[in-house]
Amino acid sequence: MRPLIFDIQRFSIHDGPGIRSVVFFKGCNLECPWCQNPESIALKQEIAYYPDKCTDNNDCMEMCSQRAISYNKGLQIDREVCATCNQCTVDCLSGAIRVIGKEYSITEVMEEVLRDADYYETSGGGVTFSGGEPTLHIDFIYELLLQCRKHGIHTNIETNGHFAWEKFQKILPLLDLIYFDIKIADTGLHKQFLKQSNEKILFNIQKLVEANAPVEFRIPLIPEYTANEENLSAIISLLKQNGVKKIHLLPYHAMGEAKAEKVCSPLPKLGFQPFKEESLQHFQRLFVNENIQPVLFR
Amino acid sequence: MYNSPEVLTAPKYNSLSKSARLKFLKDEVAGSPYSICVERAVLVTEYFKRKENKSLPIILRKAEALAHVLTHKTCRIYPQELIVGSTTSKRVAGPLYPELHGLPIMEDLLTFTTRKLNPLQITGKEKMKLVKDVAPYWLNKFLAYKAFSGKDLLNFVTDQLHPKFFLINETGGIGHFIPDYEMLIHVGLEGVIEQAEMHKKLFSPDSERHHFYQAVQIICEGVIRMAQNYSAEVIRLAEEENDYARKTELLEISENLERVPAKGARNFYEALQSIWMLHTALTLEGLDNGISFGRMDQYLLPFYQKDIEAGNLTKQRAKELLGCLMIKSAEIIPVFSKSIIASHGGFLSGQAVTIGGTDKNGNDVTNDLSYIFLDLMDEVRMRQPNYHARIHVGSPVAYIDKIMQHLAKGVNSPAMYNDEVIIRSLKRCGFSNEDAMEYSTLGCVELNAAGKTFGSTDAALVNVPLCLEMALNRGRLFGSSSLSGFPTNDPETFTSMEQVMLAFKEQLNFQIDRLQKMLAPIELGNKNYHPTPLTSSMIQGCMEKGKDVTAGGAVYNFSGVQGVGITDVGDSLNALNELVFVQKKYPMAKVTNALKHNFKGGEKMRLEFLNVPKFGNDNKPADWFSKWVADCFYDSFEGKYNTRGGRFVAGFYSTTTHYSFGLCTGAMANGRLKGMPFTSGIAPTNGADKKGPTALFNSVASIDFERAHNGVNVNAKFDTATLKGEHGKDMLKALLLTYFKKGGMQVQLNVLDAEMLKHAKEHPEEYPWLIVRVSGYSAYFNDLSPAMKDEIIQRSTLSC
Repeated sequence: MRPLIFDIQRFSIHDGPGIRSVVFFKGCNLECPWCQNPESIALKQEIAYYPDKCTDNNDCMEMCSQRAISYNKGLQIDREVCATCNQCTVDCLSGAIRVIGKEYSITEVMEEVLRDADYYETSGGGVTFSGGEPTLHIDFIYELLLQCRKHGIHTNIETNGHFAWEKFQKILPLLDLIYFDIKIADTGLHKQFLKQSNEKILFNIQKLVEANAPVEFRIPLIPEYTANEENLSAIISLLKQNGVKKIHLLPYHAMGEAKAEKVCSPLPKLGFQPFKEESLQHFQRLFVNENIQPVLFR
Repeated sequence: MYNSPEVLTAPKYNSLSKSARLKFLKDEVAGSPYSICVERAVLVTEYFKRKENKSLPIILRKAEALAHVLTHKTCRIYPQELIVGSTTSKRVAGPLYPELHGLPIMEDLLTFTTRKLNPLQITGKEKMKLVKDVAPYWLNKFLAYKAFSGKDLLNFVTDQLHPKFFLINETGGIGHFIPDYEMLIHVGLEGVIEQAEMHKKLFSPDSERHHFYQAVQIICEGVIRMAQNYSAEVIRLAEEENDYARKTELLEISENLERVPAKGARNFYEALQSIWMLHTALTLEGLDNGISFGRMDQYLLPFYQKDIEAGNLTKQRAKELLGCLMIKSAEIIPVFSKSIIASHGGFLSGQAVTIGGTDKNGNDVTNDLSYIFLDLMDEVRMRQPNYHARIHVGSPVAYIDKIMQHLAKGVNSPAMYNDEVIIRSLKRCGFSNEDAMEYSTLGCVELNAAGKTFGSTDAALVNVPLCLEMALNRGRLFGSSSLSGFPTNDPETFTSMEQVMLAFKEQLNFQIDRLQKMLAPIELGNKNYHPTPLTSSMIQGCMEKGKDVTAGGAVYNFSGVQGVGITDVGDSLNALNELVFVQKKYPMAKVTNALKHNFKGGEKMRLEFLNVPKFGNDNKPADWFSKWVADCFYDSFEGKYNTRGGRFVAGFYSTTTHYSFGLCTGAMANGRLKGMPFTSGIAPTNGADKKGPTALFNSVASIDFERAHNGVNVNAKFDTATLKGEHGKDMLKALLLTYFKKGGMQVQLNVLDAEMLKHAKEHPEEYPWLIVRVSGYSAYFNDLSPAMKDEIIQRSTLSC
């Protein structure tokens, strides 16, 4: 089965070097409470509802074979009943109800990606595979990577690191860059918060470093979850053990939470305030003190 | 952090420090109320009323009248100025041209001070003068009145009072040229007078040519006398001045004025003063619009270098002097009536400065002065002049980086021009290889050979969507039973897309023919009643031929006509093709009926049309239709010439006519409702570009710009957040240079965040400085109508 892609975002300039197109795959094997793409977590298609756009014409209710849509101070979709047949979205011309995730063939993805080939060339950019978790679709990505190599396009993958090393080895030689997330160092807490143990992740870090792979490690700085002294110290030890000299820091923002309600995501509303400048400087210093170069993304 | 090594090692240009004088002058000018000055109107009328003048040939009368204005106008010198001279008696004001569009403007007399949009100050006494002395005389003598007779006049007035099909601008004079300032600063007006004398002797005293040369002499002498009057006033002020430093400055200014513009300039400072004297005089002669400075960094360079080498000038001083001159250009505002503002809002006067580019052999000629201008754009951010930067493959990295730095941080200047495409385009429409290589920009976005071209680049603007409306209604406007266009077939009989396209093309050709026919008497009216000998003395070809520019004296002649709403039509055709002919979802009759009724009761149908892919998203079919419409527009001018012997050439910018034309156009098949604005310039329709700037630029570059000889305007809006830092700047650079590589002709950026603009709309008093580039010209945000402000705010930010 072909994987679902929920967006191909052009002129992305913060997902690797240069001007890039980011291919967002649907489906993830972790469940980070702070996920900035909550619509990416489920592997299957989902219906998203944008109340601001709704013209209240009730066409969707009539189209629904399962009678999953009702109207009570705005549209209500019974997600339990919904069979994701997508009939409701067909006639929704205002774009209030949309399907998240679409099947693409390799040719279709490449066609979209190649439209900006000239911009990649001038800017030193390329394509980035993101998600969700792109390594859930290794075979598909392998085909894409072969195509990219053929067209001389620089490639990057943004992964949570929770993959089987044997499978990943298939695409490793074709990748020009790997953005690898390190979230929580403690195995118990990792399992508690993200629903999976981090053993594979720790193993993969070691393997990638040993293989001298073009990898950059990144930490999402999330209040309470990741951005605390214990966790960061533990990550620093981990980086030092592996001889890693550079780290990307990605401060928390609440932009994902606005999307969560559109798909009725089970993720909690964190509602944290963005970090103050002093805190960000403090986090950076922790790494500088240990001779690890922090690169702050904001 | 993703800088390519090339960028890291490239030489950087470090800006010069800021000048307190420029800040003072800028604040003074920016803080002055916009006013009307009646001096010109009163003096011109005074001259024309005199009986003894009435028997003279018109060109001599025009020369003497302007000389009368120049020699009798008030000479005002303002504190700290280093370059002096003004078109009016007030700091920031516009003169009136009663013999041109002056009379129709006077209808607005009572409301100038109180009108909401672009109010202008005028005193009761001044109003009285206009009503008593000026208006009655010109009642039956202004240009449009004289150009047409009887029924034609009535037709013209009905058509142009609230222009629907096209807007003709030449009734207010022509303007839009680049004077040969290079010649001026080398030989001076005495050189011109001498040349005229040489020619004049060859012709009999009652011949037209003799009159032409005589007129040139009269008006050049008038300008010299004006400079002397200024000099006398400066000396008077110097005598009163207690501050020694300022006294010295004033004496230097008066020395300059004793020398220039009569003689050639001896140094950089004199060259600038000479240019400004001429610029004010030219502004007072004809239409005060689009009179541009050309490639200042080129023709001023010999003077700059000589002074620098002799140790008489520093870079800092050169910047200050240039800044003083540039600020003067912001003192000029055009006086428009309420109905003209609907089409040309925001006090545009289109004085362009071109920097960078190549010499006639294609070698890069970017120099110190180009960088000084770049500094000035940031330091003195004002409404005028319009700064335009030429870009070619050989442009220095430091030059391009400085431009990108400006754009990324929101200076919104300069606009960028792609030499490769423009030079090919200019050669195709008749410019010599050398002249094309050395092209200058003028007005909003137009392209010319400086000092050689009389291009009337703003002759008219055409409402292209209305042609589609008539194609879908047998040559009639929606809701009208009378024929306004070509009697094309009933759309219900159309069985293929080709028939729709053919009908549109017939309507467009019909309107362009009509436009050409209506323009011809106005061209002749300008020639017969409003020759401009001073302009002619500054445009090559006229002196050799002994012919005024309005009679076709210039080396190159054109009429530039703009197509407005090109992509609205392209998107509509794409939607008709998709839903009527491909999917066969709606029969033609149902569509035309819905359009005629403004989609009333058919919101679902409207959304379906709205959702068909639009130009600006790198969608092949959508882009193809817009390209086709642009091609039709070019085609409609093939083989058409104006009465000056110049070709009609096409361009795509809209000033604010995309708004005024939109008001009088019915619903469209792209989902646009009746009365809504069209897109500005050649951009996607508002909010339609959803795939970011690379997709946008791919779409725009699919238009065949080599045939847009008159120039185009492409606005791209970014939010500040996207372009922040060194990285943002580098990405912008890659983006824009790739767009140029793909065949883009021009681009200008608005970098602002929507929050800031919303705040600016609520609190205009806090943002007097806020400049927004709207469709090819630079205007203060506060000068725009509320609807235009909303458009600026709403226009989708390209990458969020």
